[in-house]
Amino acid sequence: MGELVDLQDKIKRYYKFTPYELKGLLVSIFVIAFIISFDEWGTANFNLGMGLYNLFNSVLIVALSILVHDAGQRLFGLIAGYRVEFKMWLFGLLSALIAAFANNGRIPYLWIIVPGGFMLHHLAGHRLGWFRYGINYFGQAMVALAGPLFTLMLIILLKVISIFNTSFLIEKAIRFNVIYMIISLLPIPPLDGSKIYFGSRMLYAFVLPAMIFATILIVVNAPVFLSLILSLLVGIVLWLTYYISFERKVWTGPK
Amino acid sequence: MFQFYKNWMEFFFFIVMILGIITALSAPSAFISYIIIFLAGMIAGRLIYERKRKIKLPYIMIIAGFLIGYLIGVYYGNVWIIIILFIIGGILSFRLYNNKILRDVRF
Repeated sequence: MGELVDLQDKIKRYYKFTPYELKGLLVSIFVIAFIISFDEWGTANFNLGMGLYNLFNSVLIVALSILVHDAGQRLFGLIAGYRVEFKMWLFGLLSALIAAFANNGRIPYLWIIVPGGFMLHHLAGHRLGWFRYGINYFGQAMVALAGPLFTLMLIILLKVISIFNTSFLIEKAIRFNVIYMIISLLPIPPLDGSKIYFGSRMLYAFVLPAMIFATILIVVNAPVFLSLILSLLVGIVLWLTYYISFERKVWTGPK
Repeated sequence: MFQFYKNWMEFFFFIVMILGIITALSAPSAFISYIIIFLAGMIAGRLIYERKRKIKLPYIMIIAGFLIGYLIGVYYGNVWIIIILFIIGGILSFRLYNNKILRDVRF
């Protein structure tokens, strides 16, 4: 009970966004929304009204997805004793824009969704957290993992909603989140995958196949519970395979 | 023999030049060529800002490699407009970061 009260207090104090974070989030959301609505500005000819409508829809989808992803990391960070700060990644955003323009809608869904990464700040006044006395790689990996996990939960929620009410917007949101989750799990700094990978290779070997397999099963309309169980099994099998074939030979213990 | 730590500038100059040619060839119209080069200029500006107080020349050479590659590969658009847009993009991005209007992570 005391931990819950402590978490509630931490959320109240540290969850809010700084002005730089807000600026970065706004830029990221608009750039990514533009990328995912790039080929929706008219069918045969350019249509401004249709384009703006699709851009608005895309902004809603992207904002929801990025905020859910970020919320997972912020909440887990606070539980672990860190304040998470969102940082936009201009190189990634500009590369994604260049790719969108160069592709020009020729290859559908070639969306490079790389809004940014995060930085951790140690909550010195709350040193009784799980990871005490400093920031460590594994703690960072766990915080990074919370983002794709929340995105996966959002995909499941959207899939359940789409069973009762099918709409283009929900379908697009599911597609967007699937691509967002897979890209964010790639081990490219500053994406979440890189933090998980450098935090713990074993964790990465489990998480990557399990989450991708779960997403594929959910997208192809497999039952949600079965998808999660099967993906867990796939994750364990590949984790063991990785351990036996590689990690067992190179692991020399903590230094 | 090729030694990476001695010749990394030439290596990346070549790689980025090829990348510039491919990007330029994929642009379907002059307008899109201009937008792409403006965005590439912004990336260059960010990179130069990153090296504000460090060694710059190899980075400027690598950036010039991209521009040269782009100019070789570009099919649509005027060469001078492309060069000017690249410089404007670079200056804009550098100013945005230098005046602390934007902040981000490099990696």
